[in-house]
Amino acid sequence: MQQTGSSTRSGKVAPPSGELASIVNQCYQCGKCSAGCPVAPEMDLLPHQMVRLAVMGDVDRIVQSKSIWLCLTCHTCGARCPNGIDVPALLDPIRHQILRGNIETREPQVPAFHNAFMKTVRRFGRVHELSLIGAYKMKTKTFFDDMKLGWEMFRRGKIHIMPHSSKRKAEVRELFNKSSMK
Amino acid sequence: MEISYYPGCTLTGSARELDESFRAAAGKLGLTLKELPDWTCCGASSAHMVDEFLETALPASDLMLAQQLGLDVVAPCAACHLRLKAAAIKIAQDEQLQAEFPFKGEIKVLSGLEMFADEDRVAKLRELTAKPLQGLRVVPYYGCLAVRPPEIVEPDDPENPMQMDRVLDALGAEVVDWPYKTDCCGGSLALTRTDMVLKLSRKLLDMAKLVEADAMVTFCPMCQANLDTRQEDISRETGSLYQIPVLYVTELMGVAFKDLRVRTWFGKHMVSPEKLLASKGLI
Repeated sequence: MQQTGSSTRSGKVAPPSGELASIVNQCYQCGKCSAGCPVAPEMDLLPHQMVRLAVMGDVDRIVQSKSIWLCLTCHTCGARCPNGIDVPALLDPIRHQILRGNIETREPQVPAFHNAFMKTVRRFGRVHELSLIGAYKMKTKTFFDDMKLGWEMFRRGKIHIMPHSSKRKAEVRELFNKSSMK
Repeated sequence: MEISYYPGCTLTGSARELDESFRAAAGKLGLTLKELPDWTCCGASSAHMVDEFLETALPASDLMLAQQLGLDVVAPCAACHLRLKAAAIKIAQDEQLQAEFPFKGEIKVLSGLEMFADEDRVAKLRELTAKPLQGLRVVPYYGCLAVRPPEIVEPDDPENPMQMDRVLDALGAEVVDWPYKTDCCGGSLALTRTDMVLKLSRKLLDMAKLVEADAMVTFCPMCQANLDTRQEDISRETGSLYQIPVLYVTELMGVAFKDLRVRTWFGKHMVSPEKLLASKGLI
Protein backbone atom coordinates (compact mmCIF):
# COMPACT_ATOMS: atom_id res chain seq x y z
CA MET A 1 0.00 0.00 0.00
CA GLN A 2 1.16 3.51 -0.88
CA GLN A 3 1.76 5.41 2.30
CA THR A 4 1.88 9.16 2.49
CA GLY A 5 3.67 11.20 5.13
CA SER A 6 5.09 8.07 6.70
CA SER A 7 7.84 10.05 8.44
CA THR A 8 5.55 10.62 11.44
CA ARG A 9 4.75 6.92 11.70
CA SER A 10 6.58 4.59 14.00
CA GLY A 11 6.36 1.54 11.73
CA LYS A 12 6.02 -0.63 14.83
CA VAL A 13 2.56 -1.79 13.83
CA ALA A 14 1.83 -2.87 10.28
CA PRO A 15 -1.33 -1.75 8.45
CA PRO A 16 -3.73 -4.42 7.16
CA SER A 17 -2.39 -6.54 4.34
CA GLY A 18 -3.57 -9.20 1.91
CA GLU A 19 -7.24 -10.06 1.75
CA LEU A 20 -8.09 -7.93 4.79
CA ALA A 21 -6.58 -4.85 3.10
CA SER A 22 -8.59 -5.40 -0.06
CA ILE A 23 -11.80 -5.62 1.98
CA VAL A 24 -10.98 -2.57 4.09
CA ASN A 25 -10.05 -0.57 0.97
CA GLN A 26 -13.64 -0.78 -0.25
CA CYS A 27 -14.83 1.59 2.48
CA TYR A 28 -16.60 4.64 1.03
CA GLN A 29 -17.15 6.34 4.39
CA CYS A 30 -20.93 6.06 4.63
CA GLY A 31 -20.63 6.04 8.42
CA LYS A 32 -23.13 3.25 8.97
CA CYS A 33 -20.69 1.48 11.30
CA SER A 34 -20.39 4.53 13.55
CA ALA A 35 -24.15 5.13 13.47
CA GLY A 36 -24.84 1.70 14.93
CA CYS A 37 -21.85 1.31 17.24
CA PRO A 38 -23.08 1.01 20.85
CA VAL A 39 -19.90 2.56 22.27
CA ALA A 40 -19.51 5.38 19.73
CA PRO A 41 -20.35 8.03 22.39
CA GLU A 42 -17.32 6.91 24.42
CA MET A 43 -14.88 6.58 21.52
CA ASP A 44 -12.06 8.97 20.68
CA LEU A 45 -11.92 7.59 17.13
CA LEU A 46 -15.17 6.43 15.55
CA PRO A 47 -15.30 3.12 13.67
CA HIS A 48 -15.44 4.76 10.20
CA GLN A 49 -12.47 6.94 11.17
CA MET A 50 -10.45 3.88 12.19
CA VAL A 51 -11.25 2.26 8.86
CA ARG A 52 -10.14 5.41 7.01
CA LEU A 53 -6.89 5.57 8.97
CA ALA A 54 -6.22 1.91 8.18
CA VAL A 55 -6.79 2.61 4.47
CA MET A 56 -4.30 5.50 4.72
CA GLY A 57 -1.79 3.25 6.49
CA ASP A 58 -1.88 5.44 9.61
CA VAL A 59 -2.34 2.66 12.15
CA ASP A 60 -0.37 4.49 14.84
CA ARG A 61 -3.38 6.68 15.56
CA ILE A 62 -5.50 3.57 16.03
CA VAL A 63 -2.86 2.07 18.32
CA GLN A 64 -2.87 5.23 20.45
CA SER A 65 -6.66 5.43 20.63
CA LYS A 66 -8.95 4.33 23.41
CA SER A 67 -11.33 3.02 20.79
CA ILE A 68 -9.27 -0.01 19.88
CA TRP A 69 -9.92 -1.39 23.37
CA LEU A 70 -13.43 0.00 23.81
CA CYS A 71 -14.71 -1.94 20.79
CA LEU A 72 -17.00 -4.59 22.30
CA THR A 73 -16.59 -6.94 19.34
CA CYS A 74 -20.39 -6.95 19.03
CA HIS A 75 -20.03 -7.03 15.20
CA THR A 76 -22.96 -4.64 14.65
CA CYS A 77 -20.73 -2.64 12.28
CA GLY A 78 -19.77 -5.68 10.21
CA ALA A 79 -23.31 -7.01 10.02
CA ARG A 80 -24.56 -3.69 8.59
CA CYS A 81 -21.61 -2.58 6.43
CA PRO A 82 -22.61 -2.48 2.75
CA ASN A 83 -19.04 -3.52 1.87
CA GLY A 84 -18.66 -6.34 4.38
CA ILE A 85 -16.06 -4.60 6.54
CA ASP A 86 -16.10 -5.92 10.10
CA VAL A 87 -14.23 -3.44 12.32
CA PRO A 88 -13.24 -6.05 14.97
CA ALA A 89 -11.65 -8.11 12.19
CA LEU A 90 -9.61 -5.05 11.23
CA LEU A 91 -8.65 -4.34 14.85
CA ASP A 92 -7.67 -7.87 15.92
CA PRO A 93 -4.33 -8.00 14.02
CA ILE A 94 -3.47 -4.53 15.36
CA ARG A 95 -4.29 -5.65 18.91
CA HIS A 96 -2.06 -8.70 18.44
CA GLN A 97 0.85 -6.50 17.40
CA ILE A 98 0.33 -4.14 20.35
CA LEU A 99 0.47 -7.07 22.78
CA ARG A 100 3.43 -8.75 21.07
CA GLY A 101 5.37 -5.48 20.91
CA ASN A 102 4.49 -4.51 24.49
CA ILE A 103 3.36 -1.16 23.17
CA GLU A 104 1.90 1.20 25.73
CA THR A 105 -1.85 1.71 25.36
CA ARG A 106 -4.72 3.74 26.70
CA GLU A 107 -7.29 1.58 28.54
CA PRO A 108 -4.54 -0.90 29.62
CA GLN A 109 -6.99 -2.76 31.87
CA VAL A 110 -8.71 -4.27 28.81
CA PRO A 111 -5.65 -6.10 27.44
CA ALA A 112 -4.73 -6.96 31.06
CA PHE A 113 -8.06 -8.77 31.37
CA HIS A 114 -7.59 -10.73 28.15
CA ASN A 115 -4.06 -11.69 29.17
CA ALA A 116 -5.29 -12.89 32.57
CA PHE A 117 -8.04 -14.87 30.84
CA MET A 118 -5.60 -16.61 28.50
CA LYS A 119 -3.24 -17.38 31.38
CA THR A 120 -5.93 -19.30 33.24
CA VAL A 121 -6.75 -21.23 30.08
CA ARG A 122 -3.05 -22.02 29.62
CA ARG A 123 -2.83 -23.24 33.19
CA PHE A 124 -6.04 -25.26 33.60
CA GLY A 125 -7.24 -25.87 30.04
CA ARG A 126 -10.41 -24.09 31.09
CA VAL A 127 -11.31 -20.75 32.60
CA HIS A 128 -11.39 -20.66 36.35
CA GLU A 129 -13.36 -17.53 37.15
CA LEU A 130 -11.85 -16.97 40.60
CA SER A 131 -8.24 -17.25 39.34
CA LEU A 132 -9.09 -14.99 36.44
CA ILE A 133 -10.64 -12.30 38.62
CA GLY A 134 -7.78 -12.59 41.13
CA ALA A 135 -5.10 -12.24 38.44
CA TYR A 136 -6.93 -9.33 36.82
CA LYS A 137 -7.32 -7.50 40.13
CA MET A 138 -3.65 -8.00 40.99
CA LYS A 139 -2.65 -6.56 37.64
CA THR A 140 -4.99 -3.57 37.75
CA LYS A 141 -5.02 -3.03 41.56
CA THR A 142 -8.82 -2.87 41.61
CA PHE A 143 -9.17 -5.11 44.66
CA PHE A 144 -12.31 -3.57 46.09
CA ASP A 145 -14.48 -3.26 42.97
CA ASP A 146 -17.46 -5.60 42.93
CA MET A 147 -16.58 -7.26 46.25
CA LYS A 148 -20.19 -7.47 47.33
CA LEU A 149 -21.23 -8.85 43.96
CA GLY A 150 -18.46 -11.45 44.15
CA TRP A 151 -19.70 -12.57 47.55
CA GLU A 152 -23.33 -12.77 46.33
CA MET A 153 -22.24 -14.91 43.38
CA PHE A 154 -20.15 -17.16 45.60
CA ARG A 155 -23.12 -17.60 47.94
CA ARG A 156 -25.19 -18.75 44.97
CA GLY A 157 -22.66 -21.39 43.98
CA LYS A 158 -21.56 -19.49 40.86
CA ILE A 159 -17.92 -19.10 41.80
CA HIS A 160 -15.82 -22.13 42.64
CA ILE A 161 -12.80 -22.07 44.91
CA MET A 162 -11.11 -24.96 43.12
CA PRO A 163 -10.55 -24.96 39.36
CA HIS A 164 -12.11 -27.65 37.19
CA SER A 165 -9.12 -28.43 35.06
CA SER A 166 -9.36 -30.51 31.90
CA LYS A 167 -7.40 -33.73 31.56
CA ARG A 168 -6.33 -32.39 28.20
CA LYS A 169 -4.62 -29.36 29.68
CA ALA A 170 -1.19 -30.59 28.49
CA GLU A 171 -2.53 -30.56 24.95
CA VAL A 172 -3.75 -27.00 25.45
CA ARG A 173 -0.32 -25.99 26.71
CA GLU A 174 1.17 -27.43 23.50
CA LEU A 175 -1.12 -25.17 21.49
CA PHE A 176 0.00 -22.17 23.53
CA ASN A 177 3.62 -23.12 22.89
CA LYS A 178 2.99 -22.79 19.16
CA SER A 179 1.54 -19.31 19.62
CA SER A 180 2.79 -15.89 20.64
CA MET A 181 1.73 -16.69 24.24
CA LYS A 182 4.48 -19.23 24.93
CA MET B 1 -31.42 -38.80 19.05
CA GLU B 2 -27.86 -38.22 20.23
CA ILE B 3 -26.06 -34.88 20.08
CA SER B 4 -22.65 -34.14 21.52
CA TYR B 5 -22.59 -31.40 24.12
CA TYR B 6 -20.04 -28.65 24.66
CA PRO B 7 -21.00 -26.86 27.90
CA GLY B 8 -18.02 -24.50 27.94
CA CYS B 9 -16.46 -22.90 31.02
CA THR B 10 -19.23 -20.46 31.91
CA LEU B 11 -21.82 -23.24 32.18
CA THR B 12 -19.71 -24.93 34.86
CA GLY B 13 -19.51 -21.67 36.86
CA SER B 14 -21.62 -18.54 36.66
CA ALA B 15 -24.21 -20.06 34.29
CA ARG B 16 -24.83 -23.37 36.03
CA GLU B 17 -28.57 -22.85 35.84
CA LEU B 18 -28.26 -22.72 32.05
CA ASP B 19 -26.36 -26.01 32.02
CA GLU B 20 -28.87 -27.74 34.30
CA SER B 21 -31.99 -26.36 32.62
CA PHE B 22 -30.57 -27.04 29.15
CA ARG B 23 -29.87 -30.68 29.97
CA ALA B 24 -33.33 -31.02 31.55
CA ALA B 25 -35.13 -29.53 28.54
CA ALA B 26 -33.13 -31.58 26.04
CA GLY B 27 -33.94 -34.75 28.00
CA LYS B 28 -37.62 -33.90 27.97
CA LEU B 29 -37.47 -33.57 24.18
CA GLY B 30 -35.89 -37.01 23.91
CA LEU B 31 -32.42 -35.72 23.02
CA THR B 32 -29.45 -37.51 24.57
CA LEU B 33 -26.60 -35.10 25.21
CA LYS B 34 -23.13 -36.66 25.21
CA GLU B 35 -20.73 -34.26 26.90
CA LEU B 36 -17.46 -34.01 24.96
CA PRO B 37 -14.91 -35.87 27.08
CA ASP B 38 -12.28 -33.56 28.58
CA TRP B 39 -13.31 -30.56 26.52
CA THR B 40 -11.19 -27.42 26.86
CA CYS B 41 -11.87 -23.68 26.68
CA CYS B 42 -12.86 -22.28 23.27
CA GLY B 43 -10.96 -19.02 23.87
CA ALA B 44 -14.25 -17.07 24.17
CA SER B 45 -13.95 -13.31 23.81
CA SER B 46 -10.24 -13.25 24.60
CA ALA B 47 -8.29 -15.57 22.28
CA HIS B 48 -9.12 -13.62 19.11
CA MET B 49 -7.89 -10.45 20.83
CA VAL B 50 -4.44 -11.84 21.61
CA ASP B 51 -3.40 -14.44 19.05
CA GLU B 52 -4.58 -15.54 15.63
CA PHE B 53 -3.45 -19.16 15.99
CA LEU B 54 -5.07 -19.71 19.39
CA GLU B 55 -8.29 -18.12 18.16
CA THR B 56 -8.75 -21.16 15.91
CA ALA B 57 -6.62 -23.81 17.64
CA LEU B 58 -8.47 -23.75 20.96
CA PRO B 59 -11.96 -24.40 19.53
CA ALA B 60 -10.48 -26.69 16.84
CA SER B 61 -9.30 -29.14 19.49
CA ASP B 62 -12.91 -29.38 20.74
CA LEU B 63 -14.24 -29.84 17.22
CA MET B 64 -11.88 -32.80 16.90
CA LEU B 65 -13.47 -34.38 20.01
CA ALA B 66 -16.95 -34.01 18.50
CA GLN B 67 -15.72 -35.48 15.24
CA GLN B 68 -14.39 -38.52 17.11
CA LEU B 69 -17.85 -39.06 18.58
CA GLY B 70 -19.31 -38.63 15.09
CA LEU B 71 -22.17 -36.51 16.41
CA ASP B 72 -23.37 -32.97 15.72
CA VAL B 73 -22.31 -30.74 18.57
CA VAL B 74 -24.45 -28.22 20.42
CA ALA B 75 -22.95 -25.28 22.33
CA PRO B 76 -25.55 -23.38 24.42
CA CYS B 77 -23.21 -20.44 25.11
CA ALA B 78 -23.39 -17.93 22.26
CA ALA B 79 -19.65 -17.17 22.44
CA CYS B 80 -18.64 -20.86 22.40
CA HIS B 81 -20.99 -21.50 19.49
CA LEU B 82 -19.47 -18.64 17.49
CA ARG B 83 -15.89 -19.72 18.24
CA LEU B 84 -16.51 -23.37 17.28
CA LYS B 85 -18.27 -22.41 14.08
CA ALA B 86 -15.66 -19.81 13.13
CA ALA B 87 -12.93 -22.41 13.65
CA ALA B 88 -14.74 -24.92 11.41
CA ILE B 89 -14.88 -22.30 8.64
CA LYS B 90 -11.21 -21.26 9.07
CA ILE B 91 -10.02 -24.88 8.96
CA ALA B 92 -11.97 -25.50 5.75
CA GLN B 93 -10.17 -22.55 4.12
CA ASP B 94 -6.63 -23.14 5.36
CA GLU B 95 -4.51 -26.13 4.42
CA GLN B 96 -1.99 -25.62 7.18
CA LEU B 97 -4.73 -25.64 9.81
CA GLN B 98 -6.30 -28.64 8.14
CA ALA B 99 -3.05 -30.57 8.48
CA GLU B 100 -2.98 -29.81 12.19
CA PHE B 101 -6.70 -30.23 12.83
CA PRO B 102 -8.12 -32.66 10.27
CA PHE B 103 -11.71 -31.61 10.90
CA LYS B 104 -13.77 -32.72 7.93
CA GLY B 105 -16.81 -30.56 8.55
CA GLU B 106 -19.19 -33.50 8.33
CA ILE B 107 -20.78 -32.79 11.68
CA LYS B 108 -22.79 -29.66 12.38
CA VAL B 109 -22.15 -27.08 15.09
CA LEU B 110 -25.52 -26.09 16.54
CA SER B 111 -26.50 -23.21 18.79
CA GLY B 112 -28.88 -23.94 21.63
CA LEU B 113 -31.57 -21.89 19.95
CA GLU B 114 -31.11 -23.65 16.64
CA MET B 115 -31.54 -26.99 18.39
CA PHE B 116 -34.79 -26.02 20.12
CA ALA B 117 -36.25 -23.81 17.37
CA ASP B 118 -36.34 -26.59 14.79
CA GLU B 119 -39.95 -26.79 13.54
CA ASP B 120 -40.72 -30.28 14.84
CA ARG B 121 -39.20 -29.49 18.22
CA VAL B 122 -41.24 -26.31 18.60
CA ALA B 123 -44.34 -28.43 18.00
CA LYS B 124 -43.11 -30.87 20.59
CA LEU B 125 -42.45 -28.06 23.09
CA ARG B 126 -46.04 -26.93 22.61
CA GLU B 127 -47.24 -30.48 23.19
CA LEU B 128 -45.10 -30.96 26.31
CA THR B 129 -46.21 -27.69 27.89
CA ALA B 130 -48.19 -28.68 30.97
CA LYS B 131 -48.29 -25.20 32.48
CA PRO B 132 -48.63 -22.61 29.69
CA LEU B 133 -46.87 -19.36 30.62
CA GLN B 134 -50.10 -17.42 30.26
CA GLY B 135 -50.01 -13.75 31.15
CA LEU B 136 -46.22 -13.65 31.36
CA ARG B 137 -45.03 -10.73 29.23
CA VAL B 138 -41.50 -11.40 28.05
CA VAL B 139 -39.04 -9.64 25.77
CA PRO B 140 -36.75 -12.00 23.85
CA TYR B 141 -33.18 -10.73 24.12
CA TYR B 142 -30.79 -12.39 21.66
CA GLY B 143 -27.75 -10.15 22.21
CA CYS B 144 -24.80 -10.00 19.84
CA LEU B 145 -23.14 -13.32 19.35
CA ALA B 146 -26.36 -15.28 18.85
CA VAL B 147 -26.80 -13.40 15.57
CA ARG B 148 -23.42 -11.91 14.62
CA PRO B 149 -21.24 -12.15 12.61
CA PRO B 150 -24.19 -13.37 10.50
CA GLU B 151 -22.01 -15.12 7.90
CA ILE B 152 -20.59 -17.34 10.66
CA VAL B 153 -23.50 -17.71 13.10
CA GLU B 154 -26.11 -17.97 10.30
CA PRO B 155 -29.16 -16.78 12.27
CA ASP B 156 -32.62 -16.75 10.66
CA ASP B 157 -32.40 -12.93 10.53
CA PRO B 158 -29.58 -10.88 12.10
CA GLU B 159 -31.71 -7.77 12.75
CA ASN B 160 -35.01 -9.41 13.68
CA PRO B 161 -34.37 -13.01 14.73
CA MET B 162 -37.47 -15.05 15.54
CA GLN B 163 -36.18 -18.39 16.86
CA MET B 164 -36.55 -17.52 20.55
CA ASP B 165 -39.87 -15.78 19.87
CA ARG B 166 -41.22 -19.02 18.40
CA VAL B 167 -40.00 -21.10 21.34
CA LEU B 168 -41.52 -18.70 23.89
CA ASP B 169 -44.78 -18.63 21.97
CA ALA B 170 -44.89 -22.44 22.06
CA LEU B 171 -44.51 -22.29 25.85
CA GLY B 172 -47.58 -20.03 26.01
CA ALA B 173 -45.81 -16.80 27.00
CA GLU B 174 -46.89 -13.40 25.74
CA VAL B 175 -43.97 -12.41 23.52
CA VAL B 176 -43.61 -8.63 23.42
CA ASP B 177 -42.08 -7.05 20.35
CA TRP B 178 -39.34 -4.56 21.22
CA PRO B 179 -36.53 -2.74 19.40
CA TYR B 180 -33.50 -4.06 21.30
CA LYS B 181 -33.53 -7.77 20.47
CA THR B 182 -29.95 -7.71 19.21
CA ASP B 183 -28.46 -4.60 20.84
CA CYS B 184 -25.26 -5.16 22.82
CA CYS B 185 -25.40 -5.22 26.64
CA GLY B 186 -21.67 -4.48 26.88
CA GLY B 187 -20.83 -7.89 28.35
CA SER B 188 -17.25 -8.11 27.08
CA LEU B 189 -16.23 -5.03 29.09
CA ALA B 190 -18.14 -6.13 32.24
CA LEU B 191 -15.06 -6.01 34.49
CA THR B 192 -12.87 -3.59 32.57
CA ARG B 193 -15.22 -0.66 31.86
CA THR B 194 -18.12 -1.29 34.20
CA ASP B 195 -19.22 2.36 33.89
CA MET B 196 -19.92 1.94 30.17
CA VAL B 197 -21.57 -1.42 30.68
CA LEU B 198 -24.00 0.06 33.22
CA LYS B 199 -25.12 2.58 30.62
CA LEU B 200 -25.64 -0.04 27.92
CA SER B 201 -27.45 -2.45 30.23
CA ARG B 202 -29.61 0.34 31.59
CA LYS B 203 -30.70 1.25 28.08
CA LEU B 204 -31.98 -2.31 27.59
CA LEU B 205 -33.65 -2.50 30.99
CA ASP B 206 -35.35 0.87 30.45
CA MET B 207 -36.81 -0.32 27.17
CA ALA B 208 -38.00 -3.55 28.78
CA LYS B 209 -39.76 -1.39 31.40
CA LEU B 210 -41.20 0.92 28.74
CA VAL B 211 -42.87 -1.97 26.89
CA GLU B 212 -44.09 -3.27 30.27
CA ALA B 213 -42.30 -6.58 30.10
CA ASP B 214 -42.37 -8.76 33.21
CA ALA B 215 -39.06 -10.40 32.36
CA MET B 216 -36.25 -10.53 29.83
CA VAL B 217 -35.37 -13.87 28.29
CA THR B 218 -32.01 -14.76 26.80
CA PHE B 219 -29.81 -17.66 25.81
CA CYS B 220 -26.46 -15.94 26.27
CA PRO B 221 -24.72 -16.48 29.63
CA MET B 222 -22.74 -13.24 29.33
CA CYS B 223 -25.88 -11.18 28.68
CA GLN B 224 -27.74 -12.91 31.50
CA ALA B 225 -24.94 -12.41 34.03
CA ASN B 226 -24.45 -8.83 33.01
CA LEU B 227 -28.11 -7.80 33.06
CA ASP B 228 -28.95 -9.78 36.18
CA THR B 229 -25.98 -8.73 38.31
CA ARG B 230 -25.87 -5.02 37.43
CA GLN B 231 -29.42 -4.01 38.36
CA GLU B 232 -28.47 -3.24 41.94
CA ASP B 233 -25.69 -0.89 40.79
CA ILE B 234 -28.03 0.76 38.29
CA SER B 235 -30.70 1.21 40.96
CA ARG B 236 -28.16 2.82 43.27
CA GLU B 237 -26.88 5.14 40.53
CA THR B 238 -30.28 6.26 39.28
CA GLY B 239 -32.26 6.21 42.50
CA SER B 240 -35.05 4.19 40.88
CA LEU B 241 -35.63 0.51 41.39
CA TYR B 242 -34.57 -1.96 38.73
CA GLN B 243 -35.80 -5.48 39.40
CA ILE B 244 -36.48 -7.21 36.12
CA PRO B 245 -35.79 -10.95 36.19
CA VAL B 246 -33.51 -12.11 33.37
CA LEU B 247 -34.25 -15.73 32.57
CA TYR B 248 -32.76 -18.36 30.34
CA VAL B 249 -35.28 -19.66 27.85
CA THR B 250 -34.54 -23.20 29.06
CA GLU B 251 -35.52 -22.21 32.62
CA LEU B 252 -38.93 -21.17 31.30
CA MET B 253 -39.16 -24.54 29.57
CA GLY B 254 -38.70 -26.01 33.05
CA VAL B 255 -41.60 -23.88 34.35
CA ALA B 256 -43.81 -24.93 31.43
CA PHE B 257 -42.89 -28.60 32.01
CA LYS B 258 -43.56 -28.27 35.77
CA ASP B 259 -39.98 -29.29 36.51
CA LEU B 260 -39.44 -29.09 40.28
CA ARG B 261 -35.79 -28.14 39.83
CA VAL B 262 -36.72 -24.62 38.71
CA ARG B 263 -36.47 -23.32 42.27
CA THR B 264 -32.83 -24.41 42.49
CA TRP B 265 -32.09 -22.57 39.25
CA PHE B 266 -33.93 -19.44 40.35
CA GLY B 267 -31.95 -19.46 43.61
CA LYS B 268 -28.89 -18.63 41.52
CA HIS B 269 -30.30 -15.39 40.16
CA MET B 270 -29.52 -12.02 41.70
CA VAL B 271 -32.99 -10.74 40.76
CA SER B 272 -35.14 -13.70 41.69
CA PRO B 273 -38.00 -14.46 39.31
CA GLU B 274 -39.85 -16.50 41.96
CA LYS B 275 -42.16 -13.75 43.20
CA LEU B 276 -43.13 -12.78 39.68
CA LEU B 277 -43.83 -16.34 38.57
CA ALA B 278 -45.75 -17.11 41.74
CA SER B 279 -47.89 -13.98 41.28
CA LYS B 280 -48.86 -15.28 37.82
CA GLY B 281 -49.67 -18.67 39.31
CA LEU B 282 -46.90 -20.33 37.28
CA ILE B 283 -44.88 -21.88 40.10
